[in-house]
Amino acid sequence: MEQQSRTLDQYSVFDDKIHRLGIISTLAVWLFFLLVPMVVTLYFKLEVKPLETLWAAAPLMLILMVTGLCEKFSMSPIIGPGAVYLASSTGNIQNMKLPAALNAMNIMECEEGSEKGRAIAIIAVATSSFVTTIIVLCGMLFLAPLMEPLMNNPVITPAFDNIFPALVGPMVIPVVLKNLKTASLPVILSIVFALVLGSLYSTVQSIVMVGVILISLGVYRMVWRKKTQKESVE
Amino acid sequence: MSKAYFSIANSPVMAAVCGLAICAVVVQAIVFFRVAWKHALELGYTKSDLVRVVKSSAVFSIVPSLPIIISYIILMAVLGKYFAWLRLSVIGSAAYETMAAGMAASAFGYESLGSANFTPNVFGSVMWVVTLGVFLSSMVALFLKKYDRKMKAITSKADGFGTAIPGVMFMGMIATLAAPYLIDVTNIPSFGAIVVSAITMIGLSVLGKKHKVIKEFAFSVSMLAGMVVACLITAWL
Repeated sequence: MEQQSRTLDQYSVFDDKIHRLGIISTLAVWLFFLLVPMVVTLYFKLEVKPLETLWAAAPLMLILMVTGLCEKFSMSPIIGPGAVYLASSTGNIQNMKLPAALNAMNIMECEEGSEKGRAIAIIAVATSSFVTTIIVLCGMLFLAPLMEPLMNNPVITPAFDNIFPALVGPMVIPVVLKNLKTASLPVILSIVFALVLGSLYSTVQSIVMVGVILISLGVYRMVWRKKTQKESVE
Repeated sequence: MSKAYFSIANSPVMAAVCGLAICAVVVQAIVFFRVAWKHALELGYTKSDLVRVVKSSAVFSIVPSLPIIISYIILMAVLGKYFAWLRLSVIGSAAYETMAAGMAASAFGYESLGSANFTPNVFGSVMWVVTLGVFLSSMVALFLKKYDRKMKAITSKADGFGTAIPGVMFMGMIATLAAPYLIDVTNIPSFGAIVVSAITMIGLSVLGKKHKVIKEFAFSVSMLAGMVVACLITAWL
């Protein structure tokens, strides 16, 4: 009992620590991001018109705020808030950080949202961001001119054009086949949304994600209630 | 011909501030990594388990990082060496940065990114637009604590349904990510990549039950198999 309550305390201590770190580091990192245009504007005495600039930034800010909200709130219960804080600063969330976290959780056989899964996802996202940072640094220093002919080679181009489908295969299909009962409704709903929205889908994908999750939860909740009512009557 | 604002975009001052911002994110990642590593050991993982996670995540991340270099080449021609380096190393993604820079360019009256020959003042504004564009999206993270507590309370309810919520959310998330590719059946290289990478993953997962090393690299190998098949199908078509 004592061991159990100590473990529970330990969990909440970890969660609190992660949230504290997440909030402080997000603000600190943003200070550095904002410092870039600020220093350049001041140092080179550029005349930036604040209203005009804000007006140009407003549509981007609004679209990305909604998608960012949906993305983070959908991912957090699965890979944990720590990995989300980090992915939010390091970028490339859907094409790299999320698959890296899910892959690591799969290797360690962690359940979605579990304490173990939360810790493992942070390690995966951090590692992934180190690799990207090193590769892009090499790209900036010397790799870009070397890579350009290779990446534009017509034989190799289809490989990079199809990275995401090649990610969908191992990330989605085995999980869906293993959990057909739970997966069938979200999969059907997403396909319907994709068919109806067409090319607009990618723009509103994060909003669709929230819609699919909420509808699925609502339907499964209804089914679960009916099932428990039936069982209690029997 | 070199663009006039490139003396600013490729200046040592720009290199210093961009490098500083990237260092800040690397420090954030190091701190999170250390805290999670320590906690994972407390939860019962061994050091070799965690090394497996690191190795697998590192190997997996190499291939998706390579196309970023192509985006870097495109953005470098518009935003200069260092700002493009910052935006693609951290915070954004290749797709977002290209879109944001394009929207910023058109907001200041330029037809396209390729034709953009900004004045130094417009370049300054474009930097602000691209930076501020993702600001609110990142600030959403500040509400995660409240949300996480609420979600934990809901999912830990012993009424049976609460415990099923993360599973349903997970299915919703991966289904939404996969849907546009699942309906794109006429795109044979893309569909072939999905099918082959999925079959490879399933096969390697079965083998991985006996050999841990296979499981560790199953995801990366499956992804590469899908990419190779996409090349083969395209060449064949």
